[in-house]
Formats: sequence, structure tokens, C-alpha cells
Amino acid sequence: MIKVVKSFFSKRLSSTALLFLVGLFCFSVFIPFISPYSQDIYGSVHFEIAGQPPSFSHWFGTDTAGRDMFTITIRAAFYSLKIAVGVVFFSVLVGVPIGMFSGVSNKRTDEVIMRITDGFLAFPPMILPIAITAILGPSLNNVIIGISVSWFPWYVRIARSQSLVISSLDYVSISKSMGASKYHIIKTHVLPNSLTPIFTQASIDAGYAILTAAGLSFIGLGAQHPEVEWGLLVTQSRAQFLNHWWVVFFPGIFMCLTVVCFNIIGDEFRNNETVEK
Amino acid sequence: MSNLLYEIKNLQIKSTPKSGAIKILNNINFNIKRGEILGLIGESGSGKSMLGCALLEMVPVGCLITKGSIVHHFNSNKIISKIRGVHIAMISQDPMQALNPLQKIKTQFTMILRRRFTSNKKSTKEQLLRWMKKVNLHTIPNILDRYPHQLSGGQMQRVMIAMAMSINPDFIVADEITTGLDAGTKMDILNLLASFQKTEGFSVLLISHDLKCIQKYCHRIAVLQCGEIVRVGSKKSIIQKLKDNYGIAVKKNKAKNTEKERNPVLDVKNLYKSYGSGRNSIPALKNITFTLCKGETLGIIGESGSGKTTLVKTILNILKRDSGDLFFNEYSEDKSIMDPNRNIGAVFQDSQGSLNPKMKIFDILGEPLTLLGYKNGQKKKEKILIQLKRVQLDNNMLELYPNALSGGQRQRVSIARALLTNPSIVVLDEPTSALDVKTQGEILNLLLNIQKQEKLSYIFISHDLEAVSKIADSIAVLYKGEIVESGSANDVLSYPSHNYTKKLIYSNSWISE
Repeated sequence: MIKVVKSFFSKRLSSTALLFLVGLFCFSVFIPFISPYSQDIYGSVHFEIAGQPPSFSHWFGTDTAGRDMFTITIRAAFYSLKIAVGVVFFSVLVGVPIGMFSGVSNKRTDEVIMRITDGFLAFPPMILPIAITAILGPSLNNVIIGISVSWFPWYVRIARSQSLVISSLDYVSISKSMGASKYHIIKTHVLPNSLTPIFTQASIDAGYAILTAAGLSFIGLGAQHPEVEWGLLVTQSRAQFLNHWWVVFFPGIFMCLTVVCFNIIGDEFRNNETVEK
Repeated sequence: MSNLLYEIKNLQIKSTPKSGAIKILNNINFNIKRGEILGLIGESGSGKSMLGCALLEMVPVGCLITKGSIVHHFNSNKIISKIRGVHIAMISQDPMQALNPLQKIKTQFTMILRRRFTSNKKSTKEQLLRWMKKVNLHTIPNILDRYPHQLSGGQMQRVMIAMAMSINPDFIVADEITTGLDAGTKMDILNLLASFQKTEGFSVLLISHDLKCIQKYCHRIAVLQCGEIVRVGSKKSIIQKLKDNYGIAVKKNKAKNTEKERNPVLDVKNLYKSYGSGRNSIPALKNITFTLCKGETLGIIGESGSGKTTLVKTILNILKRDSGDLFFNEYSEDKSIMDPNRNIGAVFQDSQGSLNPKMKIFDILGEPLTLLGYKNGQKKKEKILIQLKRVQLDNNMLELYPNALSGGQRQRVSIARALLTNPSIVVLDEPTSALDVKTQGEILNLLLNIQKQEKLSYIFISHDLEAVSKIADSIAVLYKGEIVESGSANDVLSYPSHNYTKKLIYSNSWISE
């Protein structure tokens, strides 16, 4: 792991992507304390300055309620990143142990687990999150739950395939011959050797989680005020796009950059994996 | 016309400055004559393949020729990259990688012939058939319409030889062409290459780490060590020097057990194992019965695919057997063991694959102790240090990862790990086959010393008869999942009764003549 981190910082592109994400997150945490327009985050309106284009006083302009778009866009990063990390965290937390257990289990247990997983995967990717958020009610946490339930089966599959490959290697055979339990084999051999492909998938998925959450917001099932994420910002302002381009452009561009950064990090993990092999 | 084909002077190859500018080859000086087979021998990692690539002007990306020159005397003034496929051919180590898996043999072969000779469709087909006959592949139905995966390793290598020969080359680089093939096929392939060389009179650079192959076929030998040519000369002088330096005599204590009573430690009775179920079931082991006595070594020999590894895994109880009994006498004399037993240790062939790359050597050696219930502490460390000393490794290796160790060192770690549970039996599945001659001797000596001290019993599985003859007291011959012959090592090797054993002994002995 230390090697992977070192390699991240030795490459300009991946270290820039990582710095961008970390910087953005820190900035979004502190923006309510730094910005002179911090009240805008909580819904205060200033119609006298409504719809202003980008200027020195309002870097990203203002929306139709006179709120500072810079402050809102940066604060929205906090919720978007929360979704990205939350979705990936829960998907990995649930999917990986199930997949690894399935991989080292006997054929019957493996079959049962995989068929249940297939059941989840049979739903089109957006349908399950829509159904879950519709049942639980639209909120940021429910968006995380909805997308995680839809995505964890992918991690079950990755972890299972890794587990199957690693279980057939000689060092696992020797461990088995010494009487090692399934738990010991997963903890000592399978998990450490599966981390790289799982991290690769997780970092790419983090970007897509933001896009999916934005999709849910677009149909009104996503995050709600005051937990505004980028998708919600775009949705709210889409009617004004022709007259006030900046209200859609800046949240959109931040969303785009964040997804690209997650992808770059994912690619770097994958490159490291190839080099290791 | 000069008698020389290649003149290599002061050649130096380094990795690019970005990759650390490490010297891969240094101060290489030698010539290749017309019509000779020059053997290039060296340990793994000594730079043999890189030298072969340099002669073909195919130095891989990330490496540069920084000094020296390679002058060729082919009947052409063109640079080497322009005469590859015309005057020069290459046969590589892994034919599976060298042949395109998506194209039929016919397509790939035609492409090469068309590049070399501008011939029409009909004559190309005739040429193809002629070459298939020359490499004895004409008896295989529809050979030309097959894809590489439909051929065995030996057949693929024959196709590669036919492709290389078909262009009428003046020079062939044969890079470890028999690695991964069993003794019989190895002999066929090398005989084929040598007979072509005799009739066509081209030069061959035969790269190998197998001293015996080189000894049998080459006219002259060059020895590569750590990227430098340390010796070039006639076969006789070089082989003698190499034997003095490398050949580590394996001293076996033959006198043991002759007077003492033989105590059986493991009884294997009527073992059956098959893969798949129902109609698709393929038998892997049939009616395996043998007895292993205390302090003795049972050698099990057989070609690849004869069921050796399945037998290992079944004895270790990693694979469930279909029927049959395993009686481990020190454990329980009348109860057949069904689960993995810590009294049976194991060392596998692939030293790299048998050590977890993410664990330090200390953790790898600590694993069996952890499984025995040892907590991390002084006692655990002491036990590990004792074993490490026994397999002659330095204490500072404990903090390293397996990647940093050589093949021989990794195999020593595997042996130490197998011994940490104090087993009475150690199953050795081809422990020396991936190692060079020198390390093979060292490992065999180490195993014999440990056996002497501990009165251990070994099951030594191999396709290398020489290694088996050095270590085994009795031998069982495995053929298509069955033991076709067994007896004392001397009897089986000197007076083989089964045809398969005779064939095995013949194909192994051709190189020692």
C-alpha cells in the first residue's frame, strides 16, 4: 500500500487529481466559515443582486435568488463527495466480504450467493436506486443507501473472482495443508492480494456515484435543501440556462472535473496492479 | 567470404536513465561462426535473452545499447532489422505466446512464406505441407486448419521450428525452446533442430540454462554470468570448467536403513480421484497404493499430465479423494485421515507462487506457527531463526519480500516453512525443476542433510530422473494416473520393466551420454 501511495505522488497527473479532490473537500468543509456569503448556503435570498454574471465580488455569478454561486457550488462539493465516498464505502463493506466468503466456500454456498447477486444485477442500474429512494423518501442518506444496494453486487463479483484466483495459488494450498481456516485464508492471503483491483473499481465508481446521484436529483428523488449537491444545483437552474449560463456551467464543470479525477486515480491503481503483476 | 557471421565487440546494454541506467550486459565480446551451434548458458537473470534480442536488433523498450558494436556478415548489406525474416529467424521460449491465438496455423505460416518468397497460392500450400511433413506433423488431421490452442506445447514448438526453417535462414536464435516441455518432447524438439542444422548448415544460437542440452548439441559454448561473458570456448573445455564450478556433488547416505527395521509412516491404499462428474468425469488417479517408511524417500516420477500434482494435493488432503485410504501411522494407525494434517509438510515447484508476495519472509515463516496458536513474541521469532539457520539463510532476510529473493533462496524459505510444524513427512513437488543446476544441487544437499538430522520421510515428485535418482530410496512410476511400476530406486532405474519407464529413462539419459 505504501508503494501505491508513493507511486501516486511520483506521478504528476495522479497526484494533481488527488490534491484536487482533497483540496476541494477541505475547501467545502471550511467554506461556511470563510465565505462572506455563507448565509446563502442556508437559503437566504438577495433579490437585489439576482442573476448577476461572474464578477470580482461574485466569482461564479449569482442565481435568480441572488445567492453567491461560488459559495453554493463549493459547499455542494461536500455533499457530492459525501455521496461518492458513502456509496463506495458501503458497497465495498457489504460486497467484498460476501464475495470473498463465496469464493472460498463450497460449490453450493457459492451458487446460492451468486444467484442472489444475479437477482440484484438483473435490475437496470437506475431502477433500484429510484425504487429505494422512492420508498424511503428523498434525502441524501437515502440516495447513498439506494445506490449502494444497487452497486454492492459488483463488488461481490470482483471479490469472488479474486478470491477464486488466489485460492488456487500454491501459497493458499500450503496454508490449507497446514489446516488454515477459511477466515485465516481470507484475512492473510485473499484480502491483501485483492485490494488493488477493488480500489481501482472503487475509485472509478466514486465518480459514477456522483453522476447517478445527480440523475436522481434531476427527477426529484435526490438530496434536498439544505443538503444541496451538484446535481440538484443543475436541476434547479436548468430553466435559466439560456439566460444565465453560469448557474449550470460551474456546478457542471466541477462535477465533470471530480469524475475525471476519480477516473485518473482509478487508472493509476490499475497501472500499479499491472506493474505488480 | 568470411567464416564469421557475427562479431560482437565490447557490447554494453543499459536500462534507460529513467529506469535507473542499470547495466544489463557489459563488455560482451564473442563471435558466431558460420554453420555452428553456439550454446549460450547462464543462470536465470544473467542476460541471455537480452543478448539474443540484441543480435536481432530487438532490444526491448526501456533498454539501450550504450557501447560497442554488433557487426554481421550476412550476404546482404542491409541493417539487421531489414533482414529479419529473410536471413535471420527466431524461435522463442513460449510458443503459446509466439503464435497468434486468433489465426489458424495456415494463415500464420502463409504470411511468413509470402514475405520471404513471392510465390502463388498453390506452391505456398505445397510448401506448407512439405514443412509439416519435415517436422512430423503431417500425421495430425487438419493440422493447418487448427488454432494454436488445439495443439500441444511440443506440437506448437514444432510449428515454430518449421516456420523458422521455412525461410531458409542463415542464423537462428533459439531462446530456451524446450523450457516447460517434458523430457521426451524436449529430446524430439532438439533432435529436430540439430538435424535441420546439419542438413541446411545454418548457425544457431542455442540459449538455455540447461547444461546438459548445451553439452549434447553445441559445438562451442559461451557462459554468461551477471551480464558478462566469462568464458567462450570449445564444448569440452567449458563443460569441464563448469562442472568444477557448478556441479555440486549430491552426497547421499546410502547406508541408512539397510540394517534397521523399516517403519511405515504413511500407507496410501487404493486412492481414486477424478475431475468432473457423471459422463464428463475424467479419472486423474487410479488405484494408487504405496507405503512410505520412516527416514526414507519415495520418488514418484512421471511426465507432465500424469497426475503428479493431483496426487500431491490428495495426499495433503487439499483435494478430496473419491475413494481410498490414507493411514498416517504416527497419528492413528487404523483411521484414514480426511483433513489436512500438520504432520505432512509441503514444498511446491513454483517458489514464486508458493510465497504470498504481499507478506514479508518473517510473516510467511510465522504463518504455520500462528496456525499452531503461537502469539507474536520472542518464542515465535526464536523458532523462525532456528529454521532460517537450518536452511542457511541470513537473518536480515526476514524483513524482505519474496520478490527480493532469488529462486533458490525462495525455495529455502519454502522448505523452512514446511519444517516449522515439525512434520514427519514432507511432500516435495518438483522442488528443483525451476532452478539452475548449481542451485538444484544445493537444495538437494540441504534436503538430504535435514532428512539425516530429523529422520524425515520425503515424497519426492519429479520428472527429472537424475534428481530422483540422487535422493530417492524407492521409486514409483506414475503413468496416466496409475502407478505402473515401483520398487527400490536402483531396481527401477537399472532394470525397468514397463515400457513407459523405459521410455522415460531413455529420454532422460540421452543428455547424459
